[in-house]
Amino acid sequence: MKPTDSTSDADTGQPTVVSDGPEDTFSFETSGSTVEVTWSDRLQDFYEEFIYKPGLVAWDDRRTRIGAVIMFVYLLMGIPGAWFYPAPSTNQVKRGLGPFETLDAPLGSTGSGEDVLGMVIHATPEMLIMVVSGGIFATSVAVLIGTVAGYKGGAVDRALTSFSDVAMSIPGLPLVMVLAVVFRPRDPVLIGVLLTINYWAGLGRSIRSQVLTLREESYVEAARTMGVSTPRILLKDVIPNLMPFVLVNFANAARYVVFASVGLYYLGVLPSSVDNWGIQLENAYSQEGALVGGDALYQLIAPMIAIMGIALGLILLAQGLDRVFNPRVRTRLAGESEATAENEDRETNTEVNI
Amino acid sequence: MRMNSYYLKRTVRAVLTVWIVITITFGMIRLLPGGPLEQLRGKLLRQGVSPSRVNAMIESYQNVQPNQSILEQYYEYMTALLTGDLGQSFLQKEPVTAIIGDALPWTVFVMVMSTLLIFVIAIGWGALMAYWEGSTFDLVSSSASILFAAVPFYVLGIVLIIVFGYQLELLPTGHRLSPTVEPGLSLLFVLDAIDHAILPITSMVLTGAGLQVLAMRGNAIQVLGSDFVRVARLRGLSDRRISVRYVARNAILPMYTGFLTLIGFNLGGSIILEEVFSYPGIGYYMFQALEARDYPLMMGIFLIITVALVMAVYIADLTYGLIDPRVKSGDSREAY
Amino acid sequence: MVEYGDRNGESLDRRRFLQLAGAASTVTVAGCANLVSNGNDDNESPRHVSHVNQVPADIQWNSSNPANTPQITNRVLFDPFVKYNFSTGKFIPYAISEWNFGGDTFELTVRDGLTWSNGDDVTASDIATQLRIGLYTGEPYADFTESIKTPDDSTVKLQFDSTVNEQIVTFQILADRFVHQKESEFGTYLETLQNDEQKGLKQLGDFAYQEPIASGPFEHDSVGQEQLRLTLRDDHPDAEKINFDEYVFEYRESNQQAQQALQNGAIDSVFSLFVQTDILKNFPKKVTQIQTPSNWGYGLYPNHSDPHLGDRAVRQAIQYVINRAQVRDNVSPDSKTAPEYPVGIASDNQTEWLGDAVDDFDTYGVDSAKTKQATTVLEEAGYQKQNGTWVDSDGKTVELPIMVPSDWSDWNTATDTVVDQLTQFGFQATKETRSYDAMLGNVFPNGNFVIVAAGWLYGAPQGSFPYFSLYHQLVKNNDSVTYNYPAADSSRGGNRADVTVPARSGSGTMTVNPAERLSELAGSTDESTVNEITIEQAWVTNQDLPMLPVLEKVEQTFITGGEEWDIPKPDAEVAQVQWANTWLPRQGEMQYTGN
Repeated sequence: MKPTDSTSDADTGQPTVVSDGPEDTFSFETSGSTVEVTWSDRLQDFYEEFIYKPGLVAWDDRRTRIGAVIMFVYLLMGIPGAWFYPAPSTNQVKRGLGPFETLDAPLGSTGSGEDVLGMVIHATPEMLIMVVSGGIFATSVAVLIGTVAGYKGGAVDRALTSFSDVAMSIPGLPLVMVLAVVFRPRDPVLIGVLLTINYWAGLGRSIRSQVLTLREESYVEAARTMGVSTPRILLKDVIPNLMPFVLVNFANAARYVVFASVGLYYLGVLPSSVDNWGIQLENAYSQEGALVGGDALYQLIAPMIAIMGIALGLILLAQGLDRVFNPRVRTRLAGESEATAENEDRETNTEVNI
Repeated sequence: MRMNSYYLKRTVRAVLTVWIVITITFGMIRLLPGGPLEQLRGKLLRQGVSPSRVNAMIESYQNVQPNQSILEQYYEYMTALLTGDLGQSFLQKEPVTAIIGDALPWTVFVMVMSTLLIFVIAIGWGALMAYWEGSTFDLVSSSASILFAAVPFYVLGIVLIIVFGYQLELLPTGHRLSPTVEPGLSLLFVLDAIDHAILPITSMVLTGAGLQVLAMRGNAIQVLGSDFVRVARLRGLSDRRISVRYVARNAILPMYTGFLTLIGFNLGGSIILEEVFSYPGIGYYMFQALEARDYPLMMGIFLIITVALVMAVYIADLTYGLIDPRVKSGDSREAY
Repeated sequence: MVEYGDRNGESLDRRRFLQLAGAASTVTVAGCANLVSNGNDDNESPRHVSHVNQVPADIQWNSSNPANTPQITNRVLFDPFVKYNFSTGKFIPYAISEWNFGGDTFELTVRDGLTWSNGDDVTASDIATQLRIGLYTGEPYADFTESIKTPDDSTVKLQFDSTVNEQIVTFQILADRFVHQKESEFGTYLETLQNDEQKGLKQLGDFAYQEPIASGPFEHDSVGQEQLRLTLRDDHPDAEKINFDEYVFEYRESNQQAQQALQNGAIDSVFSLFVQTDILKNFPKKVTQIQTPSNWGYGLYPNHSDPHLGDRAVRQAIQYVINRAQVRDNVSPDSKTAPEYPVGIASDNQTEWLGDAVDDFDTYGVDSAKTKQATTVLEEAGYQKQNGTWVDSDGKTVELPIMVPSDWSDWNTATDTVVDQLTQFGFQATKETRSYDAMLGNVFPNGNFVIVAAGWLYGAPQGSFPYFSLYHQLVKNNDSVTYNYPAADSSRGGNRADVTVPARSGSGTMTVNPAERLSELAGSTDESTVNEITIEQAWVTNQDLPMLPVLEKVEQTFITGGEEWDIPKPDAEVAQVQWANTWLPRQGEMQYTGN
């Protein structure tokens, strides 16, 4: 057995940068202080505490760096790329060009003369919008329900928890498919929301139990005894301290959106009036005969790489961000509720298997 | 006493969940646009058939009374469900239960096998990675895990079909069985069924194991670093004993509920998987039903998957206390 | 009044009802057949392995029951009345060995020596039973048939209520019909139908015929989830022409799987399978492709109640802008053709029927986007281009969303191309998708579309006779699409109105009523009248464009020859039928020759 130092970072062996305990938990209201703090100071503090410091920690992790670079590439593809690169249209180049034959279609063309690279690039903006809207929807609903339930307790908690339970018990993908057929959503923002329609439930449960522990923290208790209103406590004291955890799950939700949306476009459940890698896959599969002939294989590979690339970027980001969050929570939740925390990790993991 | 009320609560919650989902599906069927009956109605009206005649024809054809109040319909729907009647598929002209009965075992076979393999691999591999933490093996394995997790299972499925099915022609590209093999208690049947399930299972396992391996690795490292392991080591217990009695147990435990719930989640994923592999399980039929707006079949399968999910969570809740003796108090115990 | 497909009587509504219910399951044949195969044959007695794209165990052989009706297997189990040959344009006698047209009568003679697989003779009364059932289930001949009698054991005589065109009668009664409803099995349903039509229709529609009594050379032996096994019947009149014992259908779900199975020899034949050029060239030499016309293909149905598409100018502009050859080449140059003239006549028959008049017809540019003409025609109608987009006189943009079945990949490619062509011209065109079932159930009957992709011809073999496709375009389309064309039948959203188009002579206009003129054609036995009306109505379709023709499909049937099977050359006359793999064995043209 190799001895390990309990305080070392579990994954990389790096020394833990973030210290434990309430002294580094941040509050806009410095617990009853009468000193007037200006907004810019607060923002400055917030930036220091929740963006700069965790960012530094995260950036220190190789995975975060690679993930960020990958995501940056997709941003480039989605914003300036889609702006400058010609949109795919039939007969823009010769039919059935192989990859790397001409600069007009670097990755080749389809049987109807569409530029394969153009198809990949022009699918990106919609995908990014879906990913962001799905991620924001899932995490914000989860945070709202999780914090309120955890903090308020009692009947509110029971009601919200039961609601989450039911939402969680409905199989996500089949539900989304039924809804997609009914509503035929076209707007990528709406599609993102639809795909995560019950994704938030598991996450909400995890956040609730985090809040349960947070609310016992002295500074929260102090705020409460001082008569600070609940929404204010939640907004100022509780939620900021959940941010890293939320970010990790944002990345996971985003990856789920990528997988589910491409899958549904591939099956033709979502209306195929836009460019999407799933539609590209489907076309290569059934129209171009990429399976049997082999000549059109490159038309399958291009969208596959695009899908895997963005998923990889999101996973790496999630894993990297996890480091900011986990050592703290692990120790904080250690003890009798340790198993709970572990289960929650499982939960966020299992759900991404569509 | 406390434990009993915990079980009772859990049971009530499971039943309640199923009831709510049934009610939702009942409502959804009625909200969905242009179900088969609506479609028939539209067609007939377009042909200039008088509305009263259209009603009479649809009634005689499908045995549905459109004039029933929503409550009566709901009552009939519930009582039918309680007697195990999920209705008649418009597409297949067969009872929905018959179709599900035929398809479900195949889906369960693939999904349970996949999930089982995912966890076996996750536990074994993750433990090894934790044991050799920081080594090249650990690094390579971690990277590979992340890479595989970045592949959607259906993409890997397509790749596997192309390589092993179409190019090398080593494995079938779809279906449950070969044309000449009929279900029965024969070795041929078993081998043929496995032959057809290899690719679907592989695509689920390889893409699903990545994150689970990393999770297990994290658990194991944490346990390895915890006080009681250090104490055990100081007491001079053998490595073997420590790894089995403390580490394995404490690292695997948290994964138990994940295992059960993952089976439920995977059942939902079977729609895409079975469509890619043209494997006629419940996901395959669900997709067919969706395409054809065969709502009874669609909702029947939807319900079955939901019940499976609820049951998985329920079983996880009930048995967790038996498996993890640390959990004493019912209220703080949450399966997820 | 004799008119194909017209029915007003109440009793006929139910026929239509069942017919429509059946449409959902049968149209799939036309769209895409997909199947597959892997695993190799075992070494049993000689057998032919073909392919089916339905789960064999689910198939039931009662064609009046819309669920799981067979698409190919019935053609081996049951003998066709006759066979239409595309190359000669003639009917070849088969189970009906002779037929006599008498203006308002039609006499069929049952083939001598034809038996059912249970040993009974096939009698006139069997044939009469199934024809009589057809009177209730909405078969087209029901419109003009007054009575069906059996003067003797081998003769069936149909009496019409007035004179009917011979070609139409022959196509309606003989083409695509099989000896499949034995009186002992189906007589009871006919009785119920005669007593209580509604009850009879329901009973018949619910009856799943699982163990069919065959009239064809092979009989039902066993069926499973993956294959259907048929065995040779020695007492069939053509049994001695067949030297293999089993005809097996293996289930393959997708096109790709069927292609692979053909490639590696797991199956010997496939009917109506779309195979891309790339894949075709990888097929072994022994796999023979037989191409037959489908008289069917990708067209666009404008919704004539749309403010823009109701305008002939917009329809013509669209037809001008679409470069049909480019669409064909994008989709699959091998299995699609671009019709020379946008008219209600199948590509192969256009010059034959239009004759000298053909020069008057507008091609709208087969292989070019005639943007100049399109611009002219639009501007004359008051449209103008604003910032690169066409708007009407009120300044409203011409929006052209084209709806297409999501599950038909070739039609999606065609639509992508058309959308791009229209967009380049300045129309605001987009593609919208729905599953084909959803279109059939919701979009078509309710007219929920601006433009919808659907077949612009009647389908084979009837489509070879122009009347059927003209009727399909102008009066009553096959797919029950409510396209609101004023001249069409009320069931298609029209009111059988007159149509005014420029005269073919070039000056002035002509006003005709398509519904009346086609009904006249259907009741005429005079060849010159038939020709005259055909050209006249073709002219109407060409000028008014009730539907916009784009592509015609070429059916691809594959049979493996090589050392194992002795089959005719791909272009042999005998193979020009639907479908060669079920017809050739009966002609002794598909013999097993070895290993």
